[in-house]
Amino acid sequence: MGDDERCDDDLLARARLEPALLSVLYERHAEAVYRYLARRAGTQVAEDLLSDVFVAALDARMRVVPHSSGSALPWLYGISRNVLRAHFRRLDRAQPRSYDLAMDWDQVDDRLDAVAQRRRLKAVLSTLSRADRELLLLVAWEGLSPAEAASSLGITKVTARSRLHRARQRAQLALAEASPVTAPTTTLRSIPVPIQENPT
Amino acid sequence: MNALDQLLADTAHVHDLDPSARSKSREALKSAIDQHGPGPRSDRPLYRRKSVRRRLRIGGLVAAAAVAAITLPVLSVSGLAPSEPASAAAVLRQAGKAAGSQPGGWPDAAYWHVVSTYTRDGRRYQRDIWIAHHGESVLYDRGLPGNPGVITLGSTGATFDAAQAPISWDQLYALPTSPRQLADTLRRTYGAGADNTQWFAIAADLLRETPASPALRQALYELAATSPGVRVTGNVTDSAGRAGTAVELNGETLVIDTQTGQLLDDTEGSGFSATYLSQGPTNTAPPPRTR
Repeated sequence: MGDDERCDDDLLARARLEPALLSVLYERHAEAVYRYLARRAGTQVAEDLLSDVFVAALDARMRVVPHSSGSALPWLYGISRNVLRAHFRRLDRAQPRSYDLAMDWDQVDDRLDAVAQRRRLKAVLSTLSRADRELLLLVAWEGLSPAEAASSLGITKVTARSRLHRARQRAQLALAEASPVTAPTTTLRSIPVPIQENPT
Repeated sequence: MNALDQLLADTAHVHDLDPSARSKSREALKSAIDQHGPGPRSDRPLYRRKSVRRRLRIGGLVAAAAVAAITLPVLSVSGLAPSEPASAAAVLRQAGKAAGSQPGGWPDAAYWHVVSTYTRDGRRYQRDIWIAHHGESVLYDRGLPGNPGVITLGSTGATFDAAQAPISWDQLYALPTSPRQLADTLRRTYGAGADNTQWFAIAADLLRETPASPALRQALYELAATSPGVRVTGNVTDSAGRAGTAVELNGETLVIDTQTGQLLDDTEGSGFSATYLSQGPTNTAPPPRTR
């Protein structure tokens, strides 16, 4: 079987003694890691930090246990989160800006065309703790299952499910309060509070 | 799709990765791989010595090893005079921060796999141990008398040394990770004494060959930093060619990579010395067999 056909956890196991296999992981996941970074920090920073993530993965490969789904992405996103945090921390010393060690709001604003969308997203995300926000976004933006997101964050599946549920509730409430009125006579009080959703 | 899901879906879009940026990053990774070199090689003849004081408690069975005359591994030490105590504490705290920011935490892994080397009679042996969360641990150590190959140890899950008492994997994960609460628990439940000198040795016991989480490692380094009299003895390159900072107390020297918080080597007053090449979780261990 060629290396290209091996699944992620097989590659990761072999990569302990054959670090060159990280290149196969790169070909497979560079795009996804880039998108993770770009969604939170813009395309320029994403391009600059992309190889840093895989080089960090090279160092961390001895200690990885891949998620039972077999995908290396939860692990790679965890590394990306750390690389991004280190990046923001370095910038923070240079000049204070509107980010919070996990997201560059100016960049997020830049990539969203609709001003209303920016305001609503910010209202939704700023109502959550950083960890809950990351949990919500790993599922909604990166498409991880709650179990994979739990693995990426180093929390248990059970914890992830209940936190995700509560995070979505808070987010929906914040969204309702931030949504534009649809008619001049509509007041905030008449916007319905969202009903409880099933946990995803 | 409700309004929240719609908003999240709408805001997920980013442009594709630019092909030339993709190539550039690929090249950067390739050159890092080239510099990295291969991982630990099991064919390298290396020794491991077990100290009388320190044993791996595996289901009550002490991992057997002949104790023989030990030669210290060669460390090339840069010409630093032992420094002030204050900077040893700073080194340990820095290592703690670095350790604490590593990804991971392995409360559920089946084994903790440690690849290390030790010296005996002037030769180095490599030792692979799979420390079991539950059930039997597995050891492959070419330095064992008679070279028995892959052997199993114990039957009920390994324990580690916490102060004066054994501590299991699950108990390790139940330890508090704030330094003060950790110290309280180690005193109340694991027999740690009242004074601060002990933390250096206790931290070393729980940093070497255990699946301690990043948060616990940071707390252990923080406690070690409170031990009076710890000295920085130099910046060293260990036998595996890695750069680290050596800190010493009462004849025990730890070589630490302050960038990652990894414990690279340690040498006890009795002369026992180990170099930790890799440590990590794994869900499988090799079956016992003779070589």
